[in-house]
Amino acid sequence: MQNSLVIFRKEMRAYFNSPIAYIFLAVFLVLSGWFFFSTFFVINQASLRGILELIPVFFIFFIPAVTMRLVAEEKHSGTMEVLLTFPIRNREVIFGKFLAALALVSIGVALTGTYILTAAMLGNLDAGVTLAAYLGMILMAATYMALGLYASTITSNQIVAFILGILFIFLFFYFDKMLVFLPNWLVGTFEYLSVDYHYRNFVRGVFDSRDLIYFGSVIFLGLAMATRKLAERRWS
Amino acid sequence: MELIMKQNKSFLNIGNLLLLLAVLVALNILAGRVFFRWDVSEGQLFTLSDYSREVVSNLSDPVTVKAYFSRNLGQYNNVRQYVKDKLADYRSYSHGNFTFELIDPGDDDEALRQEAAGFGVQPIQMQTLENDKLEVKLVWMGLVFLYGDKKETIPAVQQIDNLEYDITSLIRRLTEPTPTRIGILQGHGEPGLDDRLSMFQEVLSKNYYLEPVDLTTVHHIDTGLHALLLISPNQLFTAGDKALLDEYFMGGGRLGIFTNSVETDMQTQQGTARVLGLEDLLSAWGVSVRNNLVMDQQAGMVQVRMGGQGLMSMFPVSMQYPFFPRVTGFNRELSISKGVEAAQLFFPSSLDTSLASRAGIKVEPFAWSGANTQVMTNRYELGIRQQYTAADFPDGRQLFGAAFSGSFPSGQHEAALLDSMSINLPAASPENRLAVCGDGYFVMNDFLGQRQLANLELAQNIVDWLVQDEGLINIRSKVVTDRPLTEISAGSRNVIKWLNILGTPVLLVLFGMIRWQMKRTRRKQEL
Repeated sequence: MQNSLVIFRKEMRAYFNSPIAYIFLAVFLVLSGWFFFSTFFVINQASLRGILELIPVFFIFFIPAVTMRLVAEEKHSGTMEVLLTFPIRNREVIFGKFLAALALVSIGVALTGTYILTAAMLGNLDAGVTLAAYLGMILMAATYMALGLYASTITSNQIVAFILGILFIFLFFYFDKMLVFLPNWLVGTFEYLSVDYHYRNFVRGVFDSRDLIYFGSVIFLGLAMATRKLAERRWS
Repeated sequence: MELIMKQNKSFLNIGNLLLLLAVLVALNILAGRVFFRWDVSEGQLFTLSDYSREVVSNLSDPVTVKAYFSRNLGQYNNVRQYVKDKLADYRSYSHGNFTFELIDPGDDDEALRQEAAGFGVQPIQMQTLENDKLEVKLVWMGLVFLYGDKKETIPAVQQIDNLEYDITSLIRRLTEPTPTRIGILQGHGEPGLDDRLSMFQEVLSKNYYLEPVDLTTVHHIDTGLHALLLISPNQLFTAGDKALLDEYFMGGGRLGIFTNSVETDMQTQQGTARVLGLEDLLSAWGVSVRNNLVMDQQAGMVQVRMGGQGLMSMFPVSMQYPFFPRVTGFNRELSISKGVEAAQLFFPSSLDTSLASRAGIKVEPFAWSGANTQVMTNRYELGIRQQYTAADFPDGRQLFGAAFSGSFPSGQHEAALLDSMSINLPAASPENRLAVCGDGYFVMNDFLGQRQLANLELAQNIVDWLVQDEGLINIRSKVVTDRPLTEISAGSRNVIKWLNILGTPVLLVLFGMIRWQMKRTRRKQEL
């Protein structure tokens, strides 16, 4: 864990000592704000439904943009080899990078808190639903992050990592959108695999142990696969 | 170093990854069977309310639910899971008297399809893509409740927000020994139940049996009616009609009166005073619907063609119409207005409750206008294309709705009339309830239209309060359908919008630049 924190700090410094974090967060916030507030006063409701539906779609593109460089860039520039000469476990490298990327996205999500304040000051916002939905959003981001990180370990080309990341994330986002095309015996499985299906419970204001187990499982599996892939590279 | 590498190599080989996958799959399957939920939504929308628990735990005979739900419902798939969880919740509080089975009528099980149709569950059409062709598929998502030889059906569950209310209402209807009857007064120009009140009838009939009561055809109003509603009458009540109403009310029958004082004509854009002749009776009961028309600065929108020539005159423009007040001033402590965030009234009149207080009747005002109004008392100009300014609303808050309870004095009637009608009026009623609203249009189809308003929830609350069915209010009030924003000026809206869109990003970029500058300075100093 100590080593993961070292990696985490290194990654955070890399984000915030370069324009990456600022550009990422600014673009994310301008787009979220623009789409949300273009209808907020028209709908005239103290509800964050707009942003809660919007951000998961943004994640499909923003999260691979964050994760694509995590391993692929280091491999490409050769710094990964240097890193791996240190007495540090693969899983610690992966976990540290995962935490840093998640922290960056969480900062972006937290900064949309001004929308919560606005809605709460102008109307009767459901605080419980908002809290649960934001937690669901972070869990969704963590899940996508694990998938994107795995994509980044597959290749040393950032563009390929980005496209693969979008592909994996889109697949998990889209699972429950294609149910009508599936035979009945596959419906339950595909629905359960969908990130959006589990996220919707949080948006309703319900913490369900099934959703927590699902998110935990996909995150754990994604990180394990990324660790495994990193180990392969290390020994290849 | 070698040891660490060894650990890395041994951890997560392909065999271990597969094992991990199997463990996670097993964990998820187990989690599907043993789970817990924590509902943090306001009003615990997804947790069974105390009233529903009470209803289901008091069942003395078994209620069986047949849930005809297709396995593959596309966009409605989450509904299936939700319904299953909700029915399981009911079952867990029922002491074994509530059971359910999930049935998929499938693609080719004709017998099950027939069975569902026999119970009134009809399939819904859903578009699917099969064999590279768009095809229409039939799916089922209905619930049938069986209790002895009685049955109730929800033909299709497409919305989950009101499901608990619907289920509890149906269980009550099935199991209550005598149905709760609500009379709707007819014969004085009131809207018809199947006509302009059909939307109102639809929501109320989930819990009550509604029946028209025409004073011209009855000798006495049936005392078996749990409540009687007078909705927007516009013709004169005779002395005999008033005696019948008083007899019913003095006998303990509950009354709901929704009436405007002004008859409006949008063709001429003028209003005229309604003459109902009920003033003396209402005054005796402690209330007066004032002869006025209230305009409210906080108003709903109407679509208006502005007239004139040119292209713009062809398209309707949305504008606020002060004669349609948007009511957000509710007393949230009272069950009668619980869960109603906003309703819209149409050409309302204000109420005077001072007489009730003097007569010792308990008054609970529950709905008010906004802070800026204009109260019209003589000429009623309904100018729909008029641009109104703040100066047009010099008057303050007006009362639109009030609930009265206690022992009410009877009205004054000619003794000969009462004798001829065989009416014996006591001096005062037993403990009774009366609800009055200065608008009767707010429950009518033609005014509700496609608007997403909480008007019908308010009307349901009033009826529930009248018949003392406040448990249902508690379930319904969990669903807040409308959370309107506070009215602010267009300028303030723009400031808030742009501050939110650009404020944080600009601060962030500034922070980055300052940090970069400080770093540069530090580096220079180090050199």
